[in-house]
Amino acid sequence: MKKNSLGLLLIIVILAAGLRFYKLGSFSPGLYSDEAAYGYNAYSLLTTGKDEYGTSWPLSLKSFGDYKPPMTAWLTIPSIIAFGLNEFAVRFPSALAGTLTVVVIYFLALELFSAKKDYTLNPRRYTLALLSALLLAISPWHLHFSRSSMLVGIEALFLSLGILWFLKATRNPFYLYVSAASFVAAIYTYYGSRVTVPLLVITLAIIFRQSLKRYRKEVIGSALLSLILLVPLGLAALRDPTTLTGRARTISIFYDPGIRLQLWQAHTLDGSETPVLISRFFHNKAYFYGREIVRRYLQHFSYEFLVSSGDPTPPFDIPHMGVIYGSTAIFFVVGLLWITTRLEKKPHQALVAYLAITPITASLTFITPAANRSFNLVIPIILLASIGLIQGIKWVNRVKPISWSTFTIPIIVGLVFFGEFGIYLTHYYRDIPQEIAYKWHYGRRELVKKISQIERNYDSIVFSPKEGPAYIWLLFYKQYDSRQYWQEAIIDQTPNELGWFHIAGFNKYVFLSELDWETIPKKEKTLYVGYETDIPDAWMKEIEGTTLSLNHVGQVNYPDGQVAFKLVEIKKL
Amino acid sequence: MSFSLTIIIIFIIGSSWWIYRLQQKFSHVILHLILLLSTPWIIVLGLSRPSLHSLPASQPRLARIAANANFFSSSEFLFFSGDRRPGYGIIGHGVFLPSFLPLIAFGLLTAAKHKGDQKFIRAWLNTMGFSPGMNARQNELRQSGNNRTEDTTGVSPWLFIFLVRWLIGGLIISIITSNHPTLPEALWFVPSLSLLGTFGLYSFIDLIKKSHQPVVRSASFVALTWLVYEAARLYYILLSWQPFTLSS
Repeated sequence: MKKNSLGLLLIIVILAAGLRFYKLGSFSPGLYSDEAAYGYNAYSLLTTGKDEYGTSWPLSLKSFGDYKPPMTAWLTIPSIIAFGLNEFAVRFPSALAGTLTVVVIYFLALELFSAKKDYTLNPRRYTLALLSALLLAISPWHLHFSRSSMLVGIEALFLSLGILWFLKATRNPFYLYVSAASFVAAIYTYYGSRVTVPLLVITLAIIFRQSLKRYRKEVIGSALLSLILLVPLGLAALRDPTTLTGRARTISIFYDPGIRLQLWQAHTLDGSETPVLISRFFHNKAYFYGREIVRRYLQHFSYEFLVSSGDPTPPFDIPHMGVIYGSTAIFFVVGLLWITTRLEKKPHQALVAYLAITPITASLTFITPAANRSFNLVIPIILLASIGLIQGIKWVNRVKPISWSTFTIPIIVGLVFFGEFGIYLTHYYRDIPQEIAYKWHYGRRELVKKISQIERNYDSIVFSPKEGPAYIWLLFYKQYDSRQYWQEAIIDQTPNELGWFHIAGFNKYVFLSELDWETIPKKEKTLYVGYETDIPDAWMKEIEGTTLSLNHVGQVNYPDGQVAFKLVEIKKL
Repeated sequence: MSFSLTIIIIFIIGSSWWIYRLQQKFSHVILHLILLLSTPWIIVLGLSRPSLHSLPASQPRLARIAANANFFSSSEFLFFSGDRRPGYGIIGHGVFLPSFLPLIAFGLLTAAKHKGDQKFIRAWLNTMGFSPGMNARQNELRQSGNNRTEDTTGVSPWLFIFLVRWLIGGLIISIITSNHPTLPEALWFVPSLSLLGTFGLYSFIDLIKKSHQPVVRSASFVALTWLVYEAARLYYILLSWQPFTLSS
């Protein structure tokens, strides 16, 4: 089985790679602002050794004011060397990480149900490992994030690798060092890991404490290695604490005014006759925030999030479906029921801990359910669904309610998965470009191309602030020289209420914080770039005896034919 | 007497009698009653006595089923928001208090643990209509005296299977037949969760008595304190805000 299994794994990996790399630069359509930021910062690091703010090899990229973790930018550098600065190069590391995670989940499944005789699934562990790899290869959640440069695809690889090496270390302590390095890599990749990794490591250490006691030297050595690898981050955090926490302050539930409003409402309903102490005992911050964290945590296991609607936040939504297939959800429940009966086995405890810990980071933020922040859930869900699938088929075949072949149920299940996978592909390749291309910031490449053709005719070019900071696509698609940008950029680094900086302009480009067509100054030799609703189709006004009118210079359309951008100028009549 | 109050009285008396028959202990019945009286859905039906008539359907059947599945299976409905219509819920509360979550989970876990995976999953499949041979198997086990084997909670495992069947079967009925996702339509499966919560509480107390691990004891103490605090808070809100007077 082992020999056949590796051959089948190779086929699955080829399928996974095909699904992740096919038309990677064109689908998802457009280039999301965060992807463009990673691409340009990687380009800037490659050409100058500094990021877009002129900081040498920062451990946190200031970017839009969201202080992005650096790993994705570092990994994008070789990709830009190989493919140039374009959409494919930016997404390449994520797609590669996604493909490698399919291999990792195979070995993780083998490790979780290792060859010890007391593991019930042992005779089918290669089937289980292959099924896990296959289900992950076609998982909508995993595909969606592998085909975009959204950090979590790479983080999931490092985190799952860390767990895999940790499990292997229970037999060979050398793997503790590799595990430590993988966990630290996850910490450098995504802020969520700065909560998830310590919780996971502590839980795994408690579960496998007996094995670890035997390898005291290696445990201390790997802990020291982690600390050494984290020293640069620690030093950077001492200089600027935001390096460690990123935008956590502005997205945490503690920043959410909704909870304070609920508290205020509760105190108001109590009325003035109720003693303040009693009112505060029953309506206090600790209870309200605790309840909110539990509420948001549970949202990540809801049918609505997993199967029916997914994450509504752009660009993480897949139209008309959730993040996993309906059949995966059913087998996940069966797998979960199965494993709860065998929780005395340590690898099973590790798998349940993996499942339980990964949504914690997401539940501490006020935008939930969050497909990106809870992305690591996909791996334990797929592992449990694979167990559920094997057990479910086994039970049904044993009972055989009607006389059918042993292969009937696997064939039916396979057809259901195939159908669901086909539906997902339709949504991804047909519906996303047609229905939500704007969420992926479609049209910027075409816009920059159009502007580049005509910009010599204008003294300044004014941009609308809607739908992402326009400056980053100009830098990205024009491959703008970083040194020149540092000299020209006008940046207001005072964060707004959501933590964003405002880049006011560079060169002849002006980025408004608000575009109200009636009030903005109208000048000749100025190109105005706005969304369809920003700029009227016709406009004429007499100012100081001169009649000014609006002249359409061009437009960029979405794939469905709707107008994305209008380019206009002011003309004297 | 309104229909909703009749249902509640029948459920309280019936379930208490059932618990007594199972456990043969008055203390367990009292715990069960205390838990029921701290349950928002029981309080809503008992005090507000809302109409249980179905609202007319306003969506196509498939859209209704999808909306029902989202709503009835959501933690939002069960623990945080409930039925938001005046008289059908208590502001800021679901049909259960959030502190019931560990009780229900514990009830389910106990069922899974003490039943063994095969029987439990077979029961689940049987509930879904996949395993008609199950009843015969149950009868065989009963005849062989297996139903007398008690788990640590003192509850026969077959009862848990019955509760899980009730929960899943009831949930499916609610999802398929409801015109609108509302509390009255959820009454097909909500009582089974109350009973699972009761069995979870017994298991919990059993664990506190038997466990010598400080972590388990501390966790149990925190969970029980949470339950007591939320129950007290619920009654404080009922007395202070008088939500049903407001809604009427």
